[in-house]
Amino acid sequence: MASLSSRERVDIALSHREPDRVPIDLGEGRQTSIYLEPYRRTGESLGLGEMEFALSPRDVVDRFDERFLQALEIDFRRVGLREVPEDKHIEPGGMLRDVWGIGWRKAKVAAFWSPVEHPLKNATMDDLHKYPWPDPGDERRFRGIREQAEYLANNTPYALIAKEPGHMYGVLTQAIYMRGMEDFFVDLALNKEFAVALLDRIADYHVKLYGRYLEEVGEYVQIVHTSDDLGTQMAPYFSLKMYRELIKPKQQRLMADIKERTNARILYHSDGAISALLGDLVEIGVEILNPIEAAVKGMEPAVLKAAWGDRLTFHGGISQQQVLSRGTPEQVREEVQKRIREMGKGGGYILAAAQTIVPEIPAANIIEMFRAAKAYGTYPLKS
Amino acid sequence: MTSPTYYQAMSEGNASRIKEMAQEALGRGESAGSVLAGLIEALNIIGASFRDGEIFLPEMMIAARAMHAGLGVLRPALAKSAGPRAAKVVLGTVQGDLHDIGKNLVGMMLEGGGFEIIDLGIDVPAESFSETAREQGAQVIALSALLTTTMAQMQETVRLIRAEGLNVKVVVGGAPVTAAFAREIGADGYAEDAASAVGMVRAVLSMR
Repeated sequence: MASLSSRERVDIALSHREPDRVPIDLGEGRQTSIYLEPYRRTGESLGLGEMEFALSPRDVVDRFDERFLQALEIDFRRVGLREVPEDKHIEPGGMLRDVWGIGWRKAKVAAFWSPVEHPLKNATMDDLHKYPWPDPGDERRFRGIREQAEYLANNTPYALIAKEPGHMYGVLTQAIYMRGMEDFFVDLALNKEFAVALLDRIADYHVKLYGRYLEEVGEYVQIVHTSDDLGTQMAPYFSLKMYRELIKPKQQRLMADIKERTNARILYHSDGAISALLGDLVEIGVEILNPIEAAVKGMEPAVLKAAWGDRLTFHGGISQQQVLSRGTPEQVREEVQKRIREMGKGGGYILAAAQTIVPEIPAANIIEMFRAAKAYGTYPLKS
Repeated sequence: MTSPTYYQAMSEGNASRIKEMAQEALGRGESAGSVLAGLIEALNIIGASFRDGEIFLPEMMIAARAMHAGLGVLRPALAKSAGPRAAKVVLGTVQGDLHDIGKNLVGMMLEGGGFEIIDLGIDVPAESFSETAREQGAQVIALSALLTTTMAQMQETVRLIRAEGLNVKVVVGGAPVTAAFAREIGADGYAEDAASAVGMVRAVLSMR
């Protein structure tokens, strides 16, 4: 099987069979990407010199230099929607205002934008009805993406992922950003009518946008990326009862719609201790789960593999806080070996960093992660 | 015994009912301290259910908000009462981190536990914690961090507070923070969640 293309390799792994080696990923945009600084440093270490790039509205690398992906032998390429100017407006005083009216601020010493102003914070039902939703069919976002996807599908050997649109978040997460987390959680408990109305409106937007998006690229991609955080490091945000009553139906609606428009598999990202929800997520159509953080309660890779390995492919797994940021290359190697041992058997594992790679991570560790993935991830795995 | 009813109203997140009950109790001549004790007992039970995974964030948040409403009623009376002065806690999310939910929850729990809270908000520079603690004579500084990347800033903040030589206990918490990390950076206390924070701060103070 020496001559598998990346796309074949990924297809086999996603079918829960063993290809020639564990596929590896470093994504653009949301959750799987890298900040500019470590991107540049890694490029330098690889001897690539000046590299091309584009940044997402949140300052994460959103388009890589092709040479960078080739040097690391990344198995995936991505297509995504175009940005519009309304996605990022910097106000005097430094606040970033997005198309939803959410205000984002960057902390003084950090690289991250955090949502701090919520357009529906004090909104009543009336205000919600008056809220000016952006147009999900805004043609500017879809311009040229079919051609791009078609080109990548026909002219490259890589597996293709439809990125999560950069201007939006999962249905729940978006409700949280628009309302404020505390207020929205209080709504879910005490003001269900408002909570449900907001979630429904957001789901309407998502279904229309993904519909149009996949009309363009659905036939070319192998994976559609979605996300919605459902837990803290300790527990799910909600009881199973509340999740099933209020959140799951909206997610289910979106996933069903995606499934109708493409044969691609759905990748779903959620941080947190969500093992109690995995059965529900599988039921509504999730086939690939990111990020697999071993340190989170109930999310130990070996446990997940034993329980869900026949139905879920795991994407991620390499810990940033424990290993990539503070570990030696030797420790990175051990981590990679351990995760492959835990999740690689029988396919169904795509190795990647478990979080977007932050500035303090050394280039040597990034390079070592992918080098080791190829060394230890060759099938048949050594036990 | 009023706390079973406090418990019920608080679990339902019925803030106005908690307010009424507190007002009624004061009207009957019950001391603010005794009403507070009843409310704290109710919140403690709810906090324990949260810690045990029987209830989740929305239920915990509505209870904490109801508690907050009850405290609003009691505050003037508590300020007048000559009881033992509660310890002051300077609270904030460390610099580089703009998350406030966990911190707010901890603040409400601590206030419910009888502490006086000076909340510095989010993205708080290390020196603000120590300056405020010195000016206000606080006994405790409580640091929150939600990002793995701001854990380093938490460490730096603890280091700076120590370097200032303040007679103050430093406690830490937040999603990425572990007991081991708290020990490593020289914090006096660590709580896994908001509900455990009250007991932990009390324990830390009794070590003085």
